[in-house]
Amino acid sequence: MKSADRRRSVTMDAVVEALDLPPDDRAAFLERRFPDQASRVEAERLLRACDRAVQGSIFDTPAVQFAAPLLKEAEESEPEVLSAALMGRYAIERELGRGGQATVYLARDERHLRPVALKVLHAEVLPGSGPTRGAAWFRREIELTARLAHPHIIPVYD
Amino acid sequence: MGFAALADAQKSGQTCQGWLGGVVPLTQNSAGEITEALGALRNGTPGAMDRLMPLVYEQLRRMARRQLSAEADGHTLTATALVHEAWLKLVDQTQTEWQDRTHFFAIASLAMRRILVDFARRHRAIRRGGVDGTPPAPISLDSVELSVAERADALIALDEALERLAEVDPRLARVVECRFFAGLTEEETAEALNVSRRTVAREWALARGWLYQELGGEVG
Repeated sequence: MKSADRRRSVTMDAVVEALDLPPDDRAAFLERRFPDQASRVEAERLLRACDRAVQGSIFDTPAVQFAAPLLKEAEESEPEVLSAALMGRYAIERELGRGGQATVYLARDERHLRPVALKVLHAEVLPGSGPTRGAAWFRREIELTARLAHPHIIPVYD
Repeated sequence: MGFAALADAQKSGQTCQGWLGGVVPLTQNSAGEITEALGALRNGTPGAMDRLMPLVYEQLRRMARRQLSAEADGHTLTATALVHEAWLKLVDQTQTEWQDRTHFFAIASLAMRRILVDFARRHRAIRRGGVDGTPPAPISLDSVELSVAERADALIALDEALERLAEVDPRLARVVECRFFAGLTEEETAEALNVSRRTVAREWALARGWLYQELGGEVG
């Protein structure tokens, strides 16, 4: 990376150099670099933040573990959010299967009083939440399947 | 919400495995595409990066999801394992050259950041949508005993702070993506960013401190 891309402050430059030194030598290094106490304060604060960020911060655990409860919740909250969205049309009974892309539920069609399987695309696959083509693929799958009539292909109702 | 209702739930119960896979191209197809796009990237073909990113994003997201539903708690799910497994499974190893692994890890680290932040944004959108209606709490970077909402807010705030850090020094932000979001080792990060291990070590420390301060961590 070219140094021209950087707009690091004098403080950051000094602290990154200090971090290269044994911890006991860092304070003295900053004193030499910034003889004036007023300008040294900022660097000392940043250095303390570097020490502090090492323990008991978000960076302690890798991001995926930090976010695991979020991913887990995304799975678990799905039926709840879905039930609200489908109110009066389909009533969800239970989950039938789950893939990386979608979940299939057993539901009851409340208008026509018949059991149906509901295939629900995971929310983060939908447009506006990532560079995926998931929703477009799904729409195409529905359009294609709806046109087919064959004993081994499940008919699409809705 | 995207959904399709199908007739005959009994029958669909039996066949839904195949149906579940039908939404996007199967992993095998993507593996070919990813391997090919990595080759294109290596040869400097324009647009190779734009093709790779959505493919890698999608596959990593699916793998994270699948791994998570296969186990009781999320504790054994690690980005390191995900990214390495993705490299082995999604790329045809007989057709790669040494640079490809480096390129793949660099792209995967960016993809992991987007995936996790997208999950956090989704959580916030649902919360705002009235599932519980509580306003976002002030963010905390101290990770002990955080609620799901606090985790979402912390990830979003971190993502925004990383944008600001990238304006100061793009490489510092990349180091955070590799080390924190993709769980790469110091050595793998050094390879992915084409710098020395020592640079990675001190810039990772600097970036963490800068972000900690930026996000209002108390440093006394």
